[in-house]
Amino acid sequence: MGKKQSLIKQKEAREIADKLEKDSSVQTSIRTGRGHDIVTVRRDTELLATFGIRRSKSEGHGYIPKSMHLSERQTLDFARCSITVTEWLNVYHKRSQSHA
Amino acid sequence: MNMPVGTIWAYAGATEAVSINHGLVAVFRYSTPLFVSDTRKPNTMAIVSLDEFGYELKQTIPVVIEVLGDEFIAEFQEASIATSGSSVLDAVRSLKSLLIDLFEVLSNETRLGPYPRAQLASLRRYIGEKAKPD
Repeated sequence: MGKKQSLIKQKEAREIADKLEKDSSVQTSIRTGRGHDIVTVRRDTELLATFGIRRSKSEGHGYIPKSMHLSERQTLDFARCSITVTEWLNVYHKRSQSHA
Repeated sequence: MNMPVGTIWAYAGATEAVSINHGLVAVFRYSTPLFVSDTRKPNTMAIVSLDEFGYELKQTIPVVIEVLGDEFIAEFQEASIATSGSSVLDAVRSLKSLLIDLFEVLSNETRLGPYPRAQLASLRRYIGEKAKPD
C-alpha cells in the first residue's frame, strides 16, 4: 500500500460539485452515470469541462485532482472556496492545452 | 484480439478468473477478457474489452495505476480521465464505466470546448460503435 493518503474524500468531492452548481458564472449539471455522477460545466452553452465523481462507499477520491487538472492542495482550496470557479477554469484551460 | 492463454491460477470473483503467461496477467469474465496487466510494468494495465457495455474496442486502452494510501487510482492519461477503487480490479472496472459514461456524454454534446473536444477525439481512437445485437 502507498503511504500517503489522499486528502480528497467524498465530502470534498461533494463540496466541489455543490460549489460548481451554485456558481452563477457557469452552468453545471450533474447527471447519474453507471458508477459515477457525471459533472458537466458549461459557459454560454459551450461544454468547458467534464469529470466523474464516483458513487461508492469508499472515502477516497484521490483521482479528483487529476480530473480537474489541479494539485491536491489546489483541489482542497477549490473545495474550501479560496480558488474561484473562474480561476480553476483558467488553470484547467492552460493545463489541458499542454495535454491536448 | 490475441490474448495470452495460460493456467488459471486465481479466482477474482464467482465468474471471473485470472490467467498468467509470460508475465502477462489477464482477467476474464466467463470467456471474455476484461483487462490485461504486464507484470514487467507493474503500474500499467490495458482494457481489452468493452463487451459488457455493448461497445466495440478499436484498440486496447492503456491504464496507469497509482497507489494512494489504501486507494488505487486508474487513469487513462491520454484524456486525463481518472477514477479510483479499493483494489486494482475495482479501479479499472470503475474506469471502464467512466470512460463509457464520458464517451456518451461528450458524443451527445453539440458545442464542445477545446479540451472536451480533444478528450472525445482520444476516446474515439479507442471506442467504436455500439455493437449491434445478434
